[in-house]
Parts: sequence; structure tokens; C-alpha cells
Amino acid sequence: MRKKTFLALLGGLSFFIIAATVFVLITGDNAVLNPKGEIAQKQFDLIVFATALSLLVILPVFALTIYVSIKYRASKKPVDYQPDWDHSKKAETMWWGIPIFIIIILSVVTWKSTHELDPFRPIQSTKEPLEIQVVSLQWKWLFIYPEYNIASVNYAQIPVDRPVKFVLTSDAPMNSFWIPQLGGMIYTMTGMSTQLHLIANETGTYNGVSSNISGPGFADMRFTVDSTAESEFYDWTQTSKPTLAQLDTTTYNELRKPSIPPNPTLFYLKEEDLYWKIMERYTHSSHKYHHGSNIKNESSSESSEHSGGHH
Amino acid sequence: MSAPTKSLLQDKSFKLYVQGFVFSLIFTLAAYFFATSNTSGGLLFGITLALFAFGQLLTQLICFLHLDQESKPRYNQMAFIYTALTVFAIVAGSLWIMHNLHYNMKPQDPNIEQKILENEGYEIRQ
Amino acid sequence: MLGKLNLDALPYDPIAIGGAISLIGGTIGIAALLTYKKRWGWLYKEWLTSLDAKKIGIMYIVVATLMLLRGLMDAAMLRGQTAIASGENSGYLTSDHFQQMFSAHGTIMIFFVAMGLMFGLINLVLPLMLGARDVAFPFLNSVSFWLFFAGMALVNTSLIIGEFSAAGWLAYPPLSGLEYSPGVGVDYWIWSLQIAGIGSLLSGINFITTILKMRAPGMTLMKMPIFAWSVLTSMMLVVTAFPVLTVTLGLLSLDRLLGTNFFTTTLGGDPMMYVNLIWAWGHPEVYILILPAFGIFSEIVATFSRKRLFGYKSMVIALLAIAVLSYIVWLHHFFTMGAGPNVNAFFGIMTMIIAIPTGVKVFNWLFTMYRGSIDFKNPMIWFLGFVMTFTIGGMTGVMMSVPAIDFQMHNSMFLVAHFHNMIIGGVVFGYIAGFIYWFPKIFGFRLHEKLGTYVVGAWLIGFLLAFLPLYILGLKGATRRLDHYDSSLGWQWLFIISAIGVGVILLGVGLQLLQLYVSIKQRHKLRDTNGDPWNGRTLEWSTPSPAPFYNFAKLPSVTHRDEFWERKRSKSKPDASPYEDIELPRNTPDGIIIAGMAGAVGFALIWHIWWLAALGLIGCIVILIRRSIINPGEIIIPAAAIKAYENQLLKRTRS
Repeated sequence: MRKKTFLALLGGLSFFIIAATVFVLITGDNAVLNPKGEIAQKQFDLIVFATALSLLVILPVFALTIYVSIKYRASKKPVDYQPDWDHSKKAETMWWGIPIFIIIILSVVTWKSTHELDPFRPIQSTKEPLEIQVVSLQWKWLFIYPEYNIASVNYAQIPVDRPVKFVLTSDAPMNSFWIPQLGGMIYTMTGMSTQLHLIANETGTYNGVSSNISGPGFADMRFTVDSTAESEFYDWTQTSKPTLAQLDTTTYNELRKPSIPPNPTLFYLKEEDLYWKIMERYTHSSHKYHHGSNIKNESSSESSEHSGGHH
Repeated sequence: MSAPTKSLLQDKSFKLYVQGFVFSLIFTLAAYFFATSNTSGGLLFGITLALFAFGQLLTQLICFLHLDQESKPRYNQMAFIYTALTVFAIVAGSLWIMHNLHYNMKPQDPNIEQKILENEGYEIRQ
Repeated sequence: MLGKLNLDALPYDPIAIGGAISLIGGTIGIAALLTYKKRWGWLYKEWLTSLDAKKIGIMYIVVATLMLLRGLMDAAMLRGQTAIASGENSGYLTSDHFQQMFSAHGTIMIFFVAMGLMFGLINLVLPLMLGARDVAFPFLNSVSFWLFFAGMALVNTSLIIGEFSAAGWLAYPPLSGLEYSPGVGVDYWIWSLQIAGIGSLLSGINFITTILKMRAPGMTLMKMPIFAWSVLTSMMLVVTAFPVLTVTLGLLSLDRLLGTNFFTTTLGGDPMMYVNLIWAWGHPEVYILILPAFGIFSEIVATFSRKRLFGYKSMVIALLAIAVLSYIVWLHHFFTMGAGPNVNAFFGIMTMIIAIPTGVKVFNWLFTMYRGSIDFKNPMIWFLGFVMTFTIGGMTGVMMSVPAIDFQMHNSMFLVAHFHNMIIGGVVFGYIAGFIYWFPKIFGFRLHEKLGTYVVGAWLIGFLLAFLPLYILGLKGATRRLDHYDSSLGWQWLFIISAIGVGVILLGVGLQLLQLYVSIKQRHKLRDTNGDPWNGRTLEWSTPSPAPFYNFAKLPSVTHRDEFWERKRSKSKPDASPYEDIELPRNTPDGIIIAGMAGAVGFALIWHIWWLAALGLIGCIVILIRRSIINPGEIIIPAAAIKAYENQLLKRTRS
């Protein structure tokens, strides 16, 4: 076939594929684009805003490309062909200026949103936050509820409309904790405690994954989060303790061995500070040698009883 | 195209290379053993390490990179500025980043959230 | 005696055995062909020991193309796995094998395909473009190529002896530390990159010196072709970034070899420091890859629009801005690691700022086309494909530079789609376009045009089918590097489309090989008769095709930017000055030997064969010292011989 036909077909097919993608993005069931909590909602709003701003540049680029390709092709013998025209202050000002302007807007929005959506920042609410401690293991997630003396593997239940403060560490390689419908992710690392504040504004079941590779079983590090009414949540935390397996340092040592549990498990948490004990395995030995470079942190000396006071 | 007529040990540039090699080894090993034997951090520690690094820098520039032999000093200037900027960006950036990460993630002080918000001038609104 | 090496190191599962056999089979096949055609001597004398930048460039491209085939095979296996591994079906790859495969895929594609194509093209074109005879340090050039080859050999050896890293193309600790990766895989990864990385660093030094010191008389920096500027800025990045990689890999290898604690989780180590340092190299690396591709497109757009490049000065400033800015954005690769909002916001904003000079370049290209007279040969069609795909990738990049958005996209398939968008749509399209564009200069005939159009079509559609679904998957909550997934998630149909896309890309590569074959068969019809097949603008087109081994019989004198175009326009007379003797460096096997020793050191350190490591290291040093002290001298080609050769070329052109 003629080159012109082929190129037109190619262009058409390409645009069709792009359009189809956009269609699925807008109409499909896409977790990030179907937020169920305030944090995810704000992130979604940002995505829409950033897309709109980018389109301000992208669409003119596409249009201009098609226009110059058609109008100035050699076979049409363009009448305003100017082989030496290579400079225009007006044009340069426009395409340095407009992108700079767009980026300034986006930068201001970025500065504000980064602070507002800092994973360590508590969510404004009239309700008291629920603290859940999370430990990434090979290859499962351990959720610890110190307030209620229960713990759970690969499952978490949270009350709807109440801020949840996840406090996370790892007893495995670097991991990443992600519940797409509720908000963005945070890494988990041994000997360190990260935080993620999320909130579910609708009841439902949400999927969670690990988004950082940690060995062969990493693909199975899925967990579920159920968001329920406050009363249902309370009932769940009161699950009869004698019916549950016990979680203490000894049973934990078994749990942390590499394995892929087929089903979520609920535990009776016998040691309330298990989370800090897990962290201590790594911070304890490093303290003798760790110079901490020039970091002087007042908070480290008045650090809570959690870190055991080895200073 | 010169045949090696002079004895190797007398050749001036050869001597410079050997000196450079010895010095670079000294600065590297000194920095490593100083860091591993020193159990307290602090400003003096950081400054000593920085001095070792600076010594290494000079050794490399003078003994190996022949910074005194360039015919167009303008290129030296540009190279220096670009390299200095880059090194500054990487070192200062890394220090800032690592400090920030450690501040956020050490075993948690329960009051740290309060401190974060106060630092940034926010108040907890109801 | 042999350290950790024993028969257990050979592959034992069928797919791994298959891979090893194809590799061995391929190598034996090539060796058999050479023996049958009695070409070993020719290969050794004309190619392997040559210090001619053009020959070294071709060798880079040959190796890079073979590695492209391997990387694409890996990709096909990976996408084949994900297309079927839904729910109960666990596919045909074990998790460990899958993880080794994507680690190998990424490592090979970046270090051996992209870098290889880049250095190859620069070697082929840069001296010609600058009016020079070779690069500044021809021997170093050979060493660089052979170190690259040695790194490539190590990666491929892991397919036969031992295993490869399963920790991803950047091998974060603690996963890549001794505790979680006790095998040899990560060590293969470390040493092949360490060796190839030194080759890259040396090339950086070489090309910067060439550009600053070896331009033709009269060619000021602002008169040199824009491609040379893009190489200069890219090599500035190479020279300042690769040492960071060398040190970081070195520290990781000390952790693994000597039990030090730089990146361990206890005893003062900090894995986050690794992440920080590796990306302080990693971000400049991607700009290293893309800048020359930008330069290539600048040359192509100007040439085929028959018009001066719009805003040359602006383009230079943009290149320099990108080179400087790429050093203050690297944290955007780990926004989610837990840094505070000030740090995250700063680096996010810096990342956005880099989008500005990049966008400016696109407009300059489009305005070069505006009021031009555009001849849509293959390279221009690649450019159109690039504009379409690269802008989409840029948009998704700007999105992810907002930390709060990145929290929902990091390490998901959205990220995978974005960076493939930039690397395939930008880097690969650019280097393929450059290869087609400069092919006649090096080989003397053009590539078949119509087949070439089908090649672009296949690559473009293949790319869209393979990667646009991944954007959707990422937003559905699919994280990267999964070897199987739950069937209830509704992801499978997207993975299937992506697998089809990989198939179409493979079709495109197949068409490229067909195109090469057909072009060779029809080379008389496609011959480049006067050295200027595209009505070019820059000096490389003023030589006959294929370019003679000395590039220029008489070194040109330059008075304009686009010197060759101006000469044609003013119908200037050819240079009437007398021919002079030309000095060229002698061939030498020293590059091969040094790299061979380096490869042996790498292999030995991987398998803990200490005596071999020591021997290899001593060997390298001895050869280097010997080379530094004893100058092998040059070949001098007398003026009369040059004159005769040039007359022959002229006669051939006229006939």
C-alpha cells in the first residue's frame, strides 16, 4: 500500500489504542481512581488536576505535530518554505513561559499537598485514631492491635470513618505497605518505624499488597482490610481469646520463618509491646556501633519505654 | 613517541604516580579505620572525615588528573565548577535526605507527631 | 581450588537448561560459521584488535543487538507468564526464576542494549561530525568496548554457571545482602556492572576530550552539530555519575565478600543509604541515555525538514540545564521510603522543573518542521512515533513527580509503563532512527525504505499494546514484579493484551532483521553514490560512503554551523591543498587482554576463587603499565597512498 495510507492507518490505530485506554481508565473499576477514603480521595483529586494541567501542553503538541506534518510535507511543495528561519523571540517566550507558568502552579500545589498528605501526619478528625502496628515478614503481613490484645496475619479490620494510624516496621527485607483504595504506600524497614495515616469513609473490603520485592514469596503477600461499623469492629476485637492461638515472642519466632500462610489467622496477643521488641532486635545491636553521624535528637533520649532504654 | 631511555625511578611523572597511589591508599584506609574505631559521632568526627576526603580529592586532582597542565584554563574552570556543584549536590543532598529519614523513623517518640505539626506551623483543628 | 564452584552450579530446571543450551548453541553456531568461512584471522585483524572508532562502534551495535534479542526473549517469557498465571494457574516459571528473569531483563536492557547502542552510535558518528579522524584516546576506546563485552559475558555466563540476581535491576539491600541472597546471583550482577561501568566511565572521558579538543579548525562550540552537544552533556553526566555507581557497588561487594556493614540492617549499616546512592547514580543514568537520543532527533528533524534547527542556542541551554538539574532530582525514585514533606516536596518540584527544558526541545523540533519542506523518510517517522509516545510518558512522569500522587503509583505497573514509555519511546526509537540515518555513511548503502516503514509500525503498535494496559493495571492496584495474581482481580485480560504487544514488538524486530537481509541483498540498488543520501547538513556527509578508515583525507576547515549545507549552497570549491601523511594508531590485542583479565577477576570474586582473582588483577595492572611505558607507535600512511585511495573512491562514485 502507499506510504501515505499506511501512515494514516498507523496514526489512526495508535490513537484508537490510546483512546481505548483512556476509556477504560475513566469507566473501569480502577482502585486508585475509586477512592474509598479521604486520603485516597485527595490523591485522586491531585491526579485529575495534574492530568488536566499536562493536557494543556500535550494536546497542543499533538495538534501542532499533525498540522506541520501535513502542511509542510515536501510533496505539497509548501509555498512558505523558509530554510533559514530558525529564531523567533515570540515563540521562544511562549514555550519557555507557558510551561514555567504551569510548573509554578503545579509546584505550589505540590508543596501544599505534600505537606497535607505526609504519611506521618495525623488526619484531622473528632475521633480518636486507632493505632495498628504492622510488621512485614517473609511473606506475610502481621497486624498488631496493642489496645485490644489481638493480632492478625494478612487481615485487618478497621472502623469506618475513624482515622487509623499504622505504625510499620519489618522483620524481613524492605517492604512496602499499600492499600490502593484507601491511600498511598509507605516502605517498611527493619529497625525503623514508619507511619501511615489512612481512613476509610465507606464500609467494604479492600485489597492490600506489598509493593517492594522481598524474595520468592513476595507475590503472595496480599492482605485484606475490612472496614466496618464501629460496633462490628468492637465485636471483632472482643473475639473470645481462649479460642485463638497465642502470639508471644516464642510463637512469633515460629511465625517469622519464611512461609506463605494459605489463610488469614487471628491471634491472642500476649505481649503488648511485641512490636517494639521486634524492632529492638535490630536497633539494639546497632546502638553499640551506630554513630548516628551528627544527628542529635532530643527525642531519642526521652524515647518511650518502647525502645527499652539502651542508651 | 619516546623510548624509555631514563630509568623508571628517575622519571618525574612516574614518581608522581607512585606518590599519588600511596597517598590515595592512606586517605582511604585512614577514613575507613577512623570510622570503624570511633564510637561517638559528633562534629569533630565529621570534620576529620571531611578532611580526609578533601585530601583524597587533592591527591587525585594533582597526581592523576594533571590539573596544572591544561592549556586552556577556561576548561579547568568549567570542569571544576561543574564537578564542585555535582559533588555538593550529592553530598549535601544525601546528608539532608538521610538525616530527614532517620529523624522520621527512629524508634518512635509518641510526641513526634505533635513536633512535626508544630514544626510546620500547623495546629490540630477540630 | 575452585572456590564455591562445583557441578551444582549448572542449571537443572528445563527452562533454565533451555536458556543455557540456546546461548551455548548460538555461540557455537557463530564460531562454526567463522571457521567454515575461514574468517578468524580477518575477524581478529580487521575488527577485534582495531582501534578505529567506526569499527568499535559497529562491534558495540552488534553486541547490543544480540543483547536486545536476549532481553526481548526474557520479556516475552515474563509477559507470557503473567498472561496465564491468574488464580490457580501458576504459570510455567517458578517465582525465583521469574524474579531472576526480570532482574536480568532490566540489567541487560539498560547496561548492554541502551548503553551499547549509545556508545556504538557515538563512536560511529562523532569524529566524522567533528571533522576529526578518531576519538581522543583510541586505545582507551578499545578498552572501553572490551570491558563492556566482558560485563556482557559475565551476565550471560550466569545463565550457564550459577544463577542471576533475583533482586531486581538495582538490587536493593537487605534483599541483596548476604542474609537474603546468599547465592552467587547478586555477585554476578555486581561484577558485570562494575566492569562494564568502568568501560562507560572511560568512554565518558574519551568523548568529552574528543569534543573539547579535536574539533576541526574553525568549529567553535556554538558551531558544532547539536548532536555533539548532546553527547558532551551526556558524557558530563557519565563522568560525574558513574563513580557513584562504582563506589556503591564496591561497598555492596565489600558487604558480601568481607562481611562489612555498610548496608546491613545491624551493626551500623543502613540499607536506605544504598537506595539513596544508587539513585544518585540512577537518575543521571537515564538522562545519559536520553540526551544523545534528543541530539539524534535534532539532526534528523533539521535534515529532513531541509531547514536549520530552530533555536539552536535554546537547545544548547536546554541540554545544559537538563545536565545540571538531573543531579537534584534523584529522591523522586524513593518518595515512599519515609522522608519528610520538605524533602519530598523539594525533590518533586525539582523534577517538575526538568520537564521545562525537555518540553522546550519538543517545541523547537516542531518549529523546525514548521515552514520546512519535510521529506518523510524512515527516520522522520520514528520521530513522529517518538513525539506521540514520549509526550505521554512525560505526562505520566510529571504526575508521579507529585509526591502525594506517587504514593499511589510507586512500584506499580503504572511506574513500569512510564519508564518503558520513556526508554522505548525515547531512547530506543531515537537510537534506531539514528542507526537508519547513519547506516549509509558506515556501510555504503541505505536500508530498504518500505520495509523500514513496516518496522516503525510494528514497534509503535507493539509498544502501545504492550504498555498502555500496564497504566490501567497500575491504577487497578497491581504492583510490579508479580509472577502470579488472584483471578478475582480482573487483571488477566490486560496482561494478555500486553503479551500480544510484546509479540508485535518481536515481529518488528523480525522485520528489522529481514530489512537488513534484504538491504544487503539489494545493496547495489540502494547504494549511497555520493556520500550524501539525505541531502545532509553536517560534515560527516562530506565524506564518501562508506567512510574511509581515516575519515578525512584532508581535515576540513569550518566557518559555519551546518558547514556542509552552506558549502553545497555556496557551491564552494573542493579543498585544493596538498595531501599529507596520516598517522593512525596500530591495532592491538591489549584491550581484549585487559578486559579478559577483568572478566576473570569478576568471575573469580563471584565464586571465591581467590588465586584467580589475584592473578587476574596482577595481569590487568601489568598490561596497563606495559602499555603506558612502551608506546607501540603509529602507522603512517604516506600522502601518495592517500591520494591514490581517494582517486579510487572518486572513480567508484562517478561510475
